[in-house]
Amino acid sequence: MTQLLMRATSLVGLPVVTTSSGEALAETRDVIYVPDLGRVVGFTLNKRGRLAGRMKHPLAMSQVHAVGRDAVMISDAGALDAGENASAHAVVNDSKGRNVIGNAVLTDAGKQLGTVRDLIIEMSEGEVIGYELDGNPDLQRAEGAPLLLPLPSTLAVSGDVLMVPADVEEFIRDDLAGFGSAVTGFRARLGSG
Amino acid sequence: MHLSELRGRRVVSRTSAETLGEVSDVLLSANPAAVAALQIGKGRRAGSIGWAQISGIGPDAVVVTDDDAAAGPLEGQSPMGRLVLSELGNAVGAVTDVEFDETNGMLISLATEAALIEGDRLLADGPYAIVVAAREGSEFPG
Repeated sequence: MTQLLMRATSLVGLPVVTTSSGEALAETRDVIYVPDLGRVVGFTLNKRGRLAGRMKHPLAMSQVHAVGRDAVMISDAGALDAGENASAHAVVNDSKGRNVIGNAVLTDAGKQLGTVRDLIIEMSEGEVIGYELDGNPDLQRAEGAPLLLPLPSTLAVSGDVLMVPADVEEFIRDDLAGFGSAVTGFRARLGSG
Repeated sequence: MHLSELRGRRVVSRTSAETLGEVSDVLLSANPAAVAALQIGKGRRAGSIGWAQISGIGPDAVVVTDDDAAAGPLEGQSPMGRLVLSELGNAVGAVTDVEFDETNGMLISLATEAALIEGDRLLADGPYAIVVAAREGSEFPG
């Protein structure tokens, strides 16, 4: 299967649709990201329609059948049961203030590369493989081009700073298409070093 | 048989030989993927004919078992124009035609602008979307 890379912001507002009945039961409100795991563990949800409001329980990634460009698929309504999603719920309650959007990215050589604008997610595993930065213009190839920063599988995270190895700088990319291989290359470097 | 060919074909009762109307649409069911009913007429005078009430679908007419075969309005939605989603969460377009086996009602294919989807991939025909199975090496163009 080809690697599907998506920005976290593009996963907001997607309908949550059952494969068994073709119903849209909710829509995604936000992704639940655990920086220490480097992983998206689920979604918080909104109700659909005109009375849309936040749903009490989130949807854990383990209950998700697939995430595509146009919908988050679940097998049936049972996937939204509170009990099945308790783990994701615990993360939501526990992670107040751990939103990484807006955090500074600092290399271990002491250089600030930018601030986090978005997460780049590999959808089959829910793994966050990189960040999109609002960044240091010196790192950009062209004015306004995105700055895509590969992540090691784990990194140090505090309330406002993400620490990355200085080596990462040469793996920064500006297009999502070539980004997957940059991540692989960067991680291979870390592994061999 | 394509829905596009069948539309407008007259529907005749076997018992009375009366014309009950013209085919306007179909209704699908999943498990197994098939045409569950034909719709005749439109708007408030629309009626539906369950597959079991169909005596034969020929080149000139659809013959139904009796005058009462056309029950109330179609329950459910026409597949035409509806969103098709693969089970991987990618849109495959809107339905432009439906092909089925006129001898047994089994769904042969769904056509969208972007793809022709084998009928046995139908997983669900729901209020939000028609959901179809993904198949190895043939995920649809995006």
